[in-house]
Amino acid sequence: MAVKNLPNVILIILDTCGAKHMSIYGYHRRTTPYLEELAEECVVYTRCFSTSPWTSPSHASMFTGLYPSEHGCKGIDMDLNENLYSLPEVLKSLTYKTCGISSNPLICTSLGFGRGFDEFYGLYNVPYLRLYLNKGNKNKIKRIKYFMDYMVNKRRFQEGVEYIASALRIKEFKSRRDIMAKSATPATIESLFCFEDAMNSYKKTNSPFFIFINFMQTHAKFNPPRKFRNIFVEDNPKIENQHTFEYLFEHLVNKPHSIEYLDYIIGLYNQEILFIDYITACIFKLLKKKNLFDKTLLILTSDHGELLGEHGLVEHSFCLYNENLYVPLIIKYPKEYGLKGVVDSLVQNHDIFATILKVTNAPYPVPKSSMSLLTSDKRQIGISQLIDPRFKIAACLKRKATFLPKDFMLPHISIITDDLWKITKRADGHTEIYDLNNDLYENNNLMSSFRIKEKRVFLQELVSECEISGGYKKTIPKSMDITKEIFNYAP
Amino acid sequence: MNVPNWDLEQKEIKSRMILREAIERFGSERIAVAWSGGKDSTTILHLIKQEFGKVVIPVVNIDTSVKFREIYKFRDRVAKEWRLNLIILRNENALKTLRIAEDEEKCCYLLKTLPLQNGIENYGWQALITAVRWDEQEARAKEQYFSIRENPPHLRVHPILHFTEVDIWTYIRKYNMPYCVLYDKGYRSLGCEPCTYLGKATSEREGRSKDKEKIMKRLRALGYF
Repeated sequence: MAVKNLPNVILIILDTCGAKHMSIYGYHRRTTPYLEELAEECVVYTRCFSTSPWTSPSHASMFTGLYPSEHGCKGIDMDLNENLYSLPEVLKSLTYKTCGISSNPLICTSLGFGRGFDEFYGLYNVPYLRLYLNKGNKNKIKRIKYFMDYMVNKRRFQEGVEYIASALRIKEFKSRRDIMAKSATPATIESLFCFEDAMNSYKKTNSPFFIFINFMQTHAKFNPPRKFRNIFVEDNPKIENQHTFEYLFEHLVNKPHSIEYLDYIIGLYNQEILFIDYITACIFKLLKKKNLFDKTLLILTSDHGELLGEHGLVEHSFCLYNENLYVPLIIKYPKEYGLKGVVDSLVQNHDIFATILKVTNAPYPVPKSSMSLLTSDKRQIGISQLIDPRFKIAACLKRKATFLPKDFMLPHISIITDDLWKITKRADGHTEIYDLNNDLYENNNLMSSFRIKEKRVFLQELVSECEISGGYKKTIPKSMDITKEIFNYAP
Repeated sequence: MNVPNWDLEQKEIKSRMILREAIERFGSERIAVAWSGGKDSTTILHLIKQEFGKVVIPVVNIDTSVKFREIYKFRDRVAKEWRLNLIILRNENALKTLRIAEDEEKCCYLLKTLPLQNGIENYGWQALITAVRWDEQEARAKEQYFSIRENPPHLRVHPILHFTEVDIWTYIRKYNMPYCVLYDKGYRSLGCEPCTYLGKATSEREGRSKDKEKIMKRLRALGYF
């Protein structure tokens, strides 16, 4: 294939970072000062909604351009189907060098998300130096030399000790890098190192590159680094001790969290966003320093947001409210496009699939579900689906055998129209309608309002049509019974 | 075998040369082309059309009866538009008793391999053109343009071995060639519906269930859920 002047592509996913909590999207706390400044060189999409409220289906949508009912990654089936074109595979076939960096254990090679990546760094809880030890030359001595160079040049002596300790199976050191239980900060920093290394090596080869990064910084447990503490809330050791990754289950299975607790963790969450905002600025800076900024397509988005007490819920597993679906989408197009500004029309995060294919001029078919952000066609409806929550229900049951699943734990589908009306239908028929123009965070359900009779009929017909045409109705579980298989797989 | 670093035009020329050589050598009665309705085999039909003006040899379609509705629709539309001499092979006897996809190997043998073997014998074809590509999978990386098969004896011709997947799509775009709508739904290859259905466990996936156990164990240890 003829080598073309292809732009580099960088896809950054801020896992669990909802637009609601970002000051660039109007949040009252200044959580994204750097992005506000950087956005001057970007296009900011102010109405982007995710296709799914949790990691696996949402990432699969971004990688394939399909809705969850179409790509089938939805519950216990959380792997990326091999019979689909995924973004890294497509770009690799176009001569791109591809690198994946993921701090989220669900986005891993074993579940198919590493397909098409030349290099994939899964930064879950391994001592990171192991990655470097295995990298590069097959010659053992050269590998050890690489390892030593890395330690000395990057001043990572502490990790050297950790690595040896973990090789000797000393437990205390083993858990130090646990993203979920402790902190995502080391993985975030490591992602930055991996990014810089990959970018430098690809720059030398002169090939276009694709780098995908998933940052888990804004995912529970919220534990911002020291310099980003005491900014929106004062550290409170008492609540700090209560806050664990289990906070969803505690809320559902035991007793709902207090307002004091929720206020505190909102503060922590906001501080995490402040930190990731700073990390994003570092990536922009690195690109500029290496003179790659102008010929790079950089996409910054999220897989879903987080509920922190709104609608009586926390975390993101069981509903399609906008705290969960409303995500950031900020794109820096290559300079030749000359695109900057704010776009208010309805878009979805999996539209990036069609957009990247368009920018790279890839000849592959683009699914109708994904619409390029570069065409004049506007998205008329956006769909979000929660197909199979049985997995999470089983996890609740494991924590308390007498736990009774609630109605809101059923599958859901939401449709958002281009004039920003939203209808959400639960599998048992319960329906909610909201006018997002005046009520973005859905406090006033207009389902029984007499005023919107025509609109209601229209939206109800629309949702019924979408349930069938997208295959949602066929895909949702016929029964919500927790089978042995689901129960065993759930933690 | 590495895919040569040619541009698409060179690849097209090479494929058309192979097709011309094979078809002229065997004559239009003793050679056939296998056509599944997928992107690769449709590309071969198009290449023959480009070289000879129309598809001058019989086109064999193996019908397992459980392909996607969209493929049948596409097959019949193209057969009509391109005026193909379409020969549909089915194993009617097996279809009466076989439980589809229960034993995948047996199912494939009875519904695909056997009718093709019978077809080659019954129609007296000495050569069969198929749409194998080097970049598809390891097992195909050593294929050659012409290779002899024993059961029944015939010559396999592989004119698009050197095409990569992206070449196929570039070719389709270049000539605005028709393709099955399932590709627009994200499908990468189109087999029989029971084994291709998205989200359904196939043999390959079952083989990975042990892997999955391991991942789940790890996710649990991490406290992910």
